[in-house]
Amino acid sequence: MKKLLFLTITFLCISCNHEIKQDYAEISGSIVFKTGDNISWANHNFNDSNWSNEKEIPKNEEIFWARKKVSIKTPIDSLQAIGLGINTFGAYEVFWDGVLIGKNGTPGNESNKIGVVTQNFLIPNHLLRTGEHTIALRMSQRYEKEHLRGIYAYIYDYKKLVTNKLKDTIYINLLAGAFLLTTIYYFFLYISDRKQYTMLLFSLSSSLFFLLIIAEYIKFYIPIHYSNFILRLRIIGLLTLFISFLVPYYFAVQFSFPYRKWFFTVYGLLLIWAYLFYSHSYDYTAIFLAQMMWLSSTLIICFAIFKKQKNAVIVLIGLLLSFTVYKISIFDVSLFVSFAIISLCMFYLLSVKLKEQRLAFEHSIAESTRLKYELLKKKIQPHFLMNTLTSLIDWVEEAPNKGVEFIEALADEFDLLNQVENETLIPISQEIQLCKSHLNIMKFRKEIDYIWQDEGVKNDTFQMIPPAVIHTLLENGITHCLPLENNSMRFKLIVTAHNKQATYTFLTYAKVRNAQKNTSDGTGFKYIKARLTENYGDNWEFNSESTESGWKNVITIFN
Amino acid sequence: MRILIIEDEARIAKRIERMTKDFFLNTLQQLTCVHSLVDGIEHIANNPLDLLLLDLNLNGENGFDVLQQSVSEAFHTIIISANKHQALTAFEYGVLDFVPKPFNKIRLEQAFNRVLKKEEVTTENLQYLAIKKRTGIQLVDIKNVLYIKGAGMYTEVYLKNGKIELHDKSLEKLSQLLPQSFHRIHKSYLVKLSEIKEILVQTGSKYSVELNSGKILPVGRTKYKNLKELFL
Repeated sequence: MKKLLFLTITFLCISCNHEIKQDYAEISGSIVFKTGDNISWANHNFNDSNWSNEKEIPKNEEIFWARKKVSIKTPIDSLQAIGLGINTFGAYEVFWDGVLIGKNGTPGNESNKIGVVTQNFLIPNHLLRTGEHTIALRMSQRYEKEHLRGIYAYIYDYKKLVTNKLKDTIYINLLAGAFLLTTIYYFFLYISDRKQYTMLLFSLSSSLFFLLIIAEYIKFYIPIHYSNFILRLRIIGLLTLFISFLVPYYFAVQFSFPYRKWFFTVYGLLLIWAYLFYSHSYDYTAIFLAQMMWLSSTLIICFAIFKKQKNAVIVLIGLLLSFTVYKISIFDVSLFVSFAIISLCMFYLLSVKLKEQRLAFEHSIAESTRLKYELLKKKIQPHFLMNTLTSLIDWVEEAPNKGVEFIEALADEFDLLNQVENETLIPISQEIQLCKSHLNIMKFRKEIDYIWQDEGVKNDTFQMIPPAVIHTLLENGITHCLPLENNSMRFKLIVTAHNKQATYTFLTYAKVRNAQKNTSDGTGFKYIKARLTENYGDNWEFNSESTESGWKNVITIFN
Repeated sequence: MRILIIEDEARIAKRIERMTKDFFLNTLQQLTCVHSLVDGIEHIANNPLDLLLLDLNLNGENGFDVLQQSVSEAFHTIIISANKHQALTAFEYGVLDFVPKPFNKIRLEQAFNRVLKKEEVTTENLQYLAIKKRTGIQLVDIKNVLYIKGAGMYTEVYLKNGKIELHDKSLEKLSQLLPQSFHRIHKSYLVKLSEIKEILVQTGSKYSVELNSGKILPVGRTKYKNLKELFL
């Protein structure tokens, strides 16, 4: 949490707006346009009152002019460099009070595609007396004719005009670098363990954040011709679209959101609709998509909080913080700072989940050891061992020949146990051997006629089972049932297995001592359930119930 | 001698049965063997008994409930069990002996000799007296017992809080189970030594003791010497 706060604050600081507003001039009145070409239209005193307020782009590379009034309010130091920034589409020459101060591309001959969308011009100092001035552009617009983009002009300190955005870019590129490294690192982690699906999602969204930052800020350091400008905006739109889908999806996966399928179908369609609907106002698309992302993420997190999931509250705080940043700062900044915060939330979740996975892994190892120990304990726990030995002494004393048979049966049981002790899965045939040898021993102890039957047992790979699972059911049967009138007790194992699922039905034919007694919490059942979980995760079912003829256990394993 | 065996292992039950018969011979009036606790409880309720041989761990059921009940009865209980670690608890509740499995004839006969008092019982482990009440079995900590008075077939247990509880065991049987701190001062009295304030000698060789509580109890003439030695 401390880390999260620290990073958040750091990002907030570095993302602060560096622009220093110094209004040297007031850009008043509207821009007026006229198609045609006349160098006298550049003059300050030219009367443009009959020019059109609407921008009309003539066909091909035909020249048109635009004029705009500017007034310098305060006297400017004669050594200060003042610049004029212009943001528009098209190739143009710029005139300040009739004096050519610069050009962006070649109007009338645009085939070379020279010039950028945002260009800065140094205004010669002798032209900067206080009072009203005229900016006139002699331009042509061969490409993107359907985009009647206006002309944005501003006058600032020239140095700041040129460097301000570059400074922002430095900081934002640091962020981009972080995203790039994250992308690569988590992608490698995913490659080395393909089960880590969330790592891939995180890597993907980090790469999208990275690309988005690059796409958004590339204009400040790589000249982009206006004919490519829309393409860039479309790419940004698409990136935002993907991010808006991926981020809530990531949260949904991390918090095991239950209605993922239909939620994200509807949500995805909504995003695509928004993207197409707002297709001509790119900033609105981005804002809308980001808002949708925020809203859906918040919904999912709230659901997770409702379900009392760990860490959901911290993520919600992160989301609220990102919303606050979005509300109080300008779009370019807010978009990235809020993305950074959201990304931090994702990062945080991933690290927490990794820790959980590690703990679960350690637990599973401990659990496996415990189960192995429990399996061995079955045969050395005093109740089994001492009762067996007491019976054995009695057989040896009373009927030495039978005593020898008993010892052999015991040796068999221990031998089989040694064979399976290190396994987590054994063929059902081996399990049956284990059961039969146990019955052999119990026969000597209890002097009951135990009968074993099995059905559908094959020696194929589908018929595998954790060791001593059926054996435990058999022990339960012996313990909790009384023999029938003829002093017999019958056990039957029915195996049906194919590639999709395996079912083991274990039936005890005997009188149940106490049918109401709940044995589901007994150590035997705990052992069975733990063994099944160890091997099959959640893909198993276990039912145990008394029936008219005795007891019925069904284990179903789904492959 | 009327004996009940509760043991679910058929072979072991037969072994105990055989050894019991061999030991008690014609003094054996009745020998019953049951394989479950339920049958055992039923038998105890309906038949007078002198001795119970109980396996604590039957068919996965815990025999301690039956144990609590059986030690509150008039007869002695001997545990025959595979779980040695339960021995101490069993003694705390007041069993006469704990025979761990696997056992042989000698060990079982040693236990039987305790019943017949041919063998000295030196148990210091008894912690509770299980008293039968209408509501169930109540365990009385022996720390709270002042003295015990024999009253025919049963006994009266006098407690520090002034209450008197009835126990189904005779004074003879309880004196076998209680630790050395309880001393037989009279044919009808067992007193905790630490509760005796002084020994009073009256005319005509009449002896008595005064307890810390002020209560005066008689001392048997034959017991006086022994008691005096303990106090010197």
